[in-house]
Amino acid sequence: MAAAVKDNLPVLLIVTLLSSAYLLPILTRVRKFRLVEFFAVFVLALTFTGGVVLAYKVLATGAFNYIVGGWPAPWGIELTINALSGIFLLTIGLVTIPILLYASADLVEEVGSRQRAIWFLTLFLLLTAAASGLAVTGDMFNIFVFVEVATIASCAIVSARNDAASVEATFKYLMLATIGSGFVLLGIGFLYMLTGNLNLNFINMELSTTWHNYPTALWMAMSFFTVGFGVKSALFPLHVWLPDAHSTAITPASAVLSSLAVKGYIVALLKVFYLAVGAKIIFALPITNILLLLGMIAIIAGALFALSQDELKRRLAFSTVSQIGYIFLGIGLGTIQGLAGGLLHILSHGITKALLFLAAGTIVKRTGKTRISHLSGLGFEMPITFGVFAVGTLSMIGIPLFSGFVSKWQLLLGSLEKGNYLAVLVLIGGSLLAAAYLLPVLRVAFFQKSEEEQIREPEAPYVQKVAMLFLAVVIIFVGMFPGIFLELARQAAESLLGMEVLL
Amino acid sequence: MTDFVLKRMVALLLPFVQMFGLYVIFHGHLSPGGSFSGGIVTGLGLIAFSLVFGIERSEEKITERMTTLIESFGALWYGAMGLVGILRGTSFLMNKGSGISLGVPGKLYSGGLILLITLGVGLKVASTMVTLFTSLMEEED
Amino acid sequence: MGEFLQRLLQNYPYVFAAILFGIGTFTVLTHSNLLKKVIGINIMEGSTYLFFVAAGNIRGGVAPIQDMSDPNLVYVNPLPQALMLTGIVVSVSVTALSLALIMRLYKLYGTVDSREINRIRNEVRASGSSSKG
Repeated sequence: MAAAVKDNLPVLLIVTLLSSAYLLPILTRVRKFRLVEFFAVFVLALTFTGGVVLAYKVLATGAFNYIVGGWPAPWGIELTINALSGIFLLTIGLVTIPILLYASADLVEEVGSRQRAIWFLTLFLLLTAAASGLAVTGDMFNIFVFVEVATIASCAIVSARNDAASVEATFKYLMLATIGSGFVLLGIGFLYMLTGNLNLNFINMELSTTWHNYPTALWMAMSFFTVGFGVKSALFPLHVWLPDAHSTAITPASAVLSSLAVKGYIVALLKVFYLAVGAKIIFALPITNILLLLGMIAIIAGALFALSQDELKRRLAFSTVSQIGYIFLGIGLGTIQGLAGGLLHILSHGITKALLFLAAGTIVKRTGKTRISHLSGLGFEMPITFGVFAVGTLSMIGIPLFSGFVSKWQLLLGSLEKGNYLAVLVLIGGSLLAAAYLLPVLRVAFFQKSEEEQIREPEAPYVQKVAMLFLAVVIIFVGMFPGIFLELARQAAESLLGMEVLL
Repeated sequence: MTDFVLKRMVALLLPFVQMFGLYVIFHGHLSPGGSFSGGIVTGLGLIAFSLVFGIERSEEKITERMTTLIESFGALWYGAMGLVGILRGTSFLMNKGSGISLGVPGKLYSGGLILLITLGVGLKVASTMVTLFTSLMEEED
Repeated sequence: MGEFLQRLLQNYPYVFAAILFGIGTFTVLTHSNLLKKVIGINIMEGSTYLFFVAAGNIRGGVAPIQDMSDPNLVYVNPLPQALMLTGIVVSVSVTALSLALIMRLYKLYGTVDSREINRIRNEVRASGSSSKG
């Protein structure tokens, strides 16, 4: 039995999450709602364990494939588990467990009714399943399916509270994300017409010999993919849906969307670019330069937009736009170190932004103050919340000993290695701007005297504090002992870029 | 009495529509169509019923809780069918390799697990269509 | 030029797919009526179905159901059709979700026009802030 589970682990991860998501609506009659929430957290912990096992296996023995249904690759469905999957599975686990734990404290109260709370949990698990699916999938068709599941789940999760602002934001998000899906689908169609395959490895084999014959079609396909996944992952000029959606959703939803949902599409983009089309062709059509440029614009523009926001959650949402730019910059650099930095930033931005959104949500919920300028004097009232917010801030800026430093340092080394001093400048500027838009929150909270009277119930419930502290500890842990994560990111970058780039 | 014709027609056609939906589901592996198309047809029969006779009457026939249960059951059924392969010591969704007899090509029983899987998905699709319809009709908060 | 036109005419499904995709995207992005946006999304997705199914089509081919009695039959490629079935499922769920959202918005604002909704929201916000200040 144990051997059977171990052999079929990649597919079991997804099946467990999907089945539990569909099991939840049956559980409406369970008297204690806490048990339902506990079940969901338990499922996430279970799949996280599976993810850790897979990541370990990849580190020890390298990438491997899993064949679904006994039909070998060109005909059947193949799951590819490589270091990229490993690092994304780790991110999923580290982010979703604390967020759901946080949500469990006041979910029914937040979304309005038990029925809606169960829907929220179902959508949350579906989103996690889709993200895990994107991490392990090995063919275009499943990339499309999981992208769609993730899109619908993340759109619906925004409107969990069903109030005017969030419903409007959801509609905007849904329309733009569906246009993105259309572009992705057309891209898949082009690649399928060029190669006659949907499996990533087979597309790669086919293209590597014949791509010279149709560069225009390949350009079209690549542009469709860039635009489609760019809309979904909020690459700068295409980010317009993100601030509304992420700032109006309920706290756990914003946290999981900002830290996980947008990253899933980046993983899908990486798989299409490097596993299907291949690094050689990507560099020959200089598409990485475009990504590099877009990433740099995103870093600066996102940070400037964030700076101009006074509402706390909107500022964090724009900060996500800026940080997504870092990941695209890493992809655009096209060196092992740069790509490793970008991949590591998926993890480190995930945990950091999750923590920041949770802390911000706590502040807004407990004090009713959504604007940063109104937070004066609250720091000492809510020491734990603002303490973990400080941890998140330092990590976001990239102070040593916090996880953000590790990834940004890798990106910096990557740009220096490439000799791209503009990228170096942008990276440093982005960090300074991050300091400029996040530190004032702490300054106002700790060093400005409040004119108002005491608030009634300052701190968050016990479970929420545990969830936030857990994330803070993870951030510091990754920052102090980055070895294994770095190794994983490096291996992922090496396997994506392939050997010819190394030489 | 203006909708007399409508009511009679739906009452008359409903059994055939349902039958056709089930036929398409059951012959998914033999002919065009399958779980999704058949499920849609089956679900649309129920939707037509509640459009003409009103939500209350259709709630008597099949409650919203029942459709939710069937929906979850259909999805879980698919997962369970997939696990058969793993329990037989082969891989997920393995059909013939797990020692399941495939039957005679061209006959109804000719795809091993596929018939069972399409049945589950068909139920899921049909009940999802009904749930979507009723929740759109009853969006009252 | 003549050759180009001929090629265009030979591949007319793709031309239609491109036109429909343009129409759909334009409708989504420019119309202020939310229902028309949803229709635009459906046109856009319809164009991708056309694109895929045309890519898998063979002139004179039959539906890919194996017929043992006639070995000379040419079958069309079933894979794009299967893909598009999934695409249709996805578009059904997207349409359902967006219609539910539109109904919700209609109940909140009494209109399905996004410009109207913006106007009402801004008025509410303006009156809300003036009463506070």
